[in-house]
Amino acid sequence: MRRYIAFIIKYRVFVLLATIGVTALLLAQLTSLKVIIDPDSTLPQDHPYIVTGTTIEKTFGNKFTVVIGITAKNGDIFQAPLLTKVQHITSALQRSPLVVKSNISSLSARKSKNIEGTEEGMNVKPLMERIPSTPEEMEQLRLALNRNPVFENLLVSKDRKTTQIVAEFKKSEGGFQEIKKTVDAIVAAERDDTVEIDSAGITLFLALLEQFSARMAFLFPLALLVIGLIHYEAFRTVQALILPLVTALFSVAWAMGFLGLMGEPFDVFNSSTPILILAIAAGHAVQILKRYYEEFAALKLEFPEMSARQLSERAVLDSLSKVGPVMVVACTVASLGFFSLMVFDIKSIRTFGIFTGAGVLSALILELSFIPALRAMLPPPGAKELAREHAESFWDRLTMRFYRLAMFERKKVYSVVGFLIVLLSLGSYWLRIDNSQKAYFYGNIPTRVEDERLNQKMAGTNPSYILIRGDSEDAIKRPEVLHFMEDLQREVEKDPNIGKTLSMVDFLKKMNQAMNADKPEFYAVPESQELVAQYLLLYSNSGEPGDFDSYVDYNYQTAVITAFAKSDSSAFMDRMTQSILAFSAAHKPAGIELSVGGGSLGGVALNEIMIKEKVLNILQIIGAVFLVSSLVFRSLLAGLLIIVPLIAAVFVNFGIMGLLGIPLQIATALVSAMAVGIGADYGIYMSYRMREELRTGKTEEKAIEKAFNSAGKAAIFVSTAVAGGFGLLMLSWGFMIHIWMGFLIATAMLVSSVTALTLFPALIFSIRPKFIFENRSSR
Amino acid sequence: MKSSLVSTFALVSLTLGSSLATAANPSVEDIVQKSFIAGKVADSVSDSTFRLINGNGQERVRETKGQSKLIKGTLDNMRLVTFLSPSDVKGTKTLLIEHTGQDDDMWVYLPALKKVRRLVSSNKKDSFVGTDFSYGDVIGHRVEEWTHKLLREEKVDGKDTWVIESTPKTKEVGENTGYSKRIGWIEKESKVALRGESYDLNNQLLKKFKADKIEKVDPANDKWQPMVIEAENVQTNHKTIIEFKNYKANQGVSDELFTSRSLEKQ
Repeated sequence: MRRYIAFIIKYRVFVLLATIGVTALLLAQLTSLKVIIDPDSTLPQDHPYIVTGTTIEKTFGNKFTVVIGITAKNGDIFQAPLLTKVQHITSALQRSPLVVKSNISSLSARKSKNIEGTEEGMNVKPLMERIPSTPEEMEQLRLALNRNPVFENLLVSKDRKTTQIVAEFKKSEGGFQEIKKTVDAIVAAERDDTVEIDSAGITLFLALLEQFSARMAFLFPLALLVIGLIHYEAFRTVQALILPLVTALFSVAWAMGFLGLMGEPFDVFNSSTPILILAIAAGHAVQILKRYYEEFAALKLEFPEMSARQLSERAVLDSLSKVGPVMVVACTVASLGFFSLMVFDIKSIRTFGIFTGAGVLSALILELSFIPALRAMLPPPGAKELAREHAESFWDRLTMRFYRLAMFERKKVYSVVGFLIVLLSLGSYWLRIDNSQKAYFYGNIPTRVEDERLNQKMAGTNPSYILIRGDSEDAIKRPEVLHFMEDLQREVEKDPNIGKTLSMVDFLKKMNQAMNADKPEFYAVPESQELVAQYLLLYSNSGEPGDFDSYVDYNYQTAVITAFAKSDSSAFMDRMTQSILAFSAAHKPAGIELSVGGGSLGGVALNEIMIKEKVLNILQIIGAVFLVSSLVFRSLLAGLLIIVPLIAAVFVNFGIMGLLGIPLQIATALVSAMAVGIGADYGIYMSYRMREELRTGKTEEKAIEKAFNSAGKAAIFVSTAVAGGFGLLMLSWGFMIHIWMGFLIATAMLVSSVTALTLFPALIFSIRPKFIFENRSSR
Repeated sequence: MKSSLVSTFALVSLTLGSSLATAANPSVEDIVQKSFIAGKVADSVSDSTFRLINGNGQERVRETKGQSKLIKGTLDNMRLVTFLSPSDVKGTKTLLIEHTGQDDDMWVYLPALKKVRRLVSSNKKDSFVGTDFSYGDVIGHRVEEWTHKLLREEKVDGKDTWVIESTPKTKEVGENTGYSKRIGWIEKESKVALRGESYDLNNQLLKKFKADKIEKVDPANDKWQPMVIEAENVQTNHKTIIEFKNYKANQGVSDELFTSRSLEKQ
């Protein structure tokens, strides 16, 4: 190690140039880095719900829907000006290049057909070809809606005060915000004091997600500033303000470039990951910086005759050769932990793993090459800076407090810290696993308010789908299949959260009724497959070929039942799914397969994966840390002790989430991975330092005090700085993801550093493991 | 008296004008009118295959038998389509009787119900037996209801055509047909439109039409009929291809066939 560092110092100019070259090269890769805003990247693509969802989207469309509701402030919707607004919005949507033209439903959309029985047969025509201009025409529209229950709560509310327009959008280059802007502009043109217009649906929430995530553009520099300032406050040197951040920024840039090189896309859900890399990289940088100052001061005392420049070079050499190996260990542990996330089924988490793992390795490389080279060229610390470094500050008093606690008041540590950890961990009992995209945002954000209102008035803005697949063409025309679908719809509708279900059956029943002079008793499934086929052919004489494309596939082999839910909570969706599957198992006819998926069910799939894989993943990282630590210290006990702060951080993290009602979902789950990733560092640095000091032959108390003052203090600096930097995220008004992450990461940092400085050393003194205390006598 | 004189004069000059135009270069209205009647044979029988293809490339095939006859002294057709396959719609028949100036009559016989039902069809934009052709597309758009403009002359598949743009004269015509504009590539020889485009009421391209294998089916009366016609809705990506086989004109098809009562027979 020493020879390597000496080499770096000798060829520092070359190292600097090489680093800049590599950075430029990796930055050039950024051009090939694809930034995607794809909700699929957060979903486990092999999960049955997602597979079904993908099939449904391919066959029936309806992936990115936007719902627009118009409510009359006075009276009902049967007023020409209000209906004109419906027509305007529908046409405007039809003109937009972002909209799937064949998939707009509204009172004035061509595919909304009035199926009506007449003396002589069936009459099928668009519900509202033109705006009714006479009271009679208006009455006809009202009657048509009364006669076609299929439109209730979809096109018109039960109280007839609200009407709804649903449009499907294509994925757009400009992301979901472009869709939202289009919708906002269309809606704004029609708003006045006679109506209330609400727009909602998951697509608009994805737009919000994009919009709020973009706040990172200013939160990130702000976090940098805060971390830099806290470091400055701790060290009182300009180097401390700048160098750790240089390492951190370069690491982020390298990791991004690496992603580009790997052809991995960068998604919006990873927009807060750079802050994590920043935190880890800064953490290591501070450990080394702290040691550098210590060595510099010690060398200055030892060799007063040496020039400051020589002293600085020597200090770089000494500090790195002592801390470098520790850093290699800590970074290996962390990056292995992160890289292990690559086994995840969720693209977003895989990206996270690779990104963070690469970031940690970059920090390691930089701290072992670029930074010593640079430091050797920078002016060495002056007397003033050294004096500052030595002056007793708040940080020293805090460190000493921890030292005395761990050293002399172990009972207190076990009872207070241990008790707190256990108590907070118990909160995990109330931990909810729930993934509601809507709950990412404050309840008073306009989109949420409007979504909530529409959920109250209409069927619900959260569609989920039941796919019915037959063993042959035309299976869906079989009466027993249609009966099964109908019974299933009634079953699903029993849940108060379900506002409506919709399928081909609803239309066939209406056709049957119409062909039998609109008699109510014929609002039922037609009695033979021939009849169904012939009704459909008859219908096609006035309808359009694509009228039923959203309900049944072309060969009538596959049909879909859409269940409109008023909530997108995955916990609720999960309950609903279980009851559907149970009903199906008991009643489905032979030759029929049923599966659920798509829409809001993505959240359920995500949850199942989260429970299974997240636990697995945490165990995996903990296992990796245990293994590597045991190997490095050649002691299983060492491995066990090192993972104590980490386990504490994870459990307290889950406990606090349970107590505060923060749900475990994609963003908050990443925090636990972060916590375990960072959590081991402090313990590793502390162990090495304690062992090193003990081997110098100092008294035990002095040696440990020294370790606390060095590695311990650095841990306090870093965890405070990172907690402060991340804590800033809590300022992201309205966006729960940032707020939760900010809070949880700050907490995790503090818990793991406090544990590493109390419980961890206390355990070491109680157990006195060989890996710390051996070889002590030999010195 | 005075007004009728004026109108007589106007009529004469119009007729004269149009015949003058024919001599040198036919007027646009003339071309469109000739195109309108190009395929109207006295009667016909044919077998046809309807291929309906959706945006995903899935296909539904229906075999039908078709019979048609012009109502004496008019350009109104009576059309009977009998479905032969698939089996669950076998025997289903649709009868369409056109009435210039009023609503057309449409009857459907459903063998599963063993009943004839009347369809109330008040507009021309509805789908013709579930295809991408509307009734308007099948019957033909009334020449006098549209304003026609010759855009240019062009070759299509090596054949000379006039490219003519037609826009509805009144709002009602537009609403009734669902089109705000039509463009036709009318072949100079047969007067059959080889290509066509129609635009929806939002002025967006809605459908593209194609006619192929144009055959002279009634040489005496200069009648032409494409053996393959295709309509594609570019907004839904749904497509219909109709292929005629055994098309024969002037077969002495009986008027008896085209009554709602005869639908229930056999």
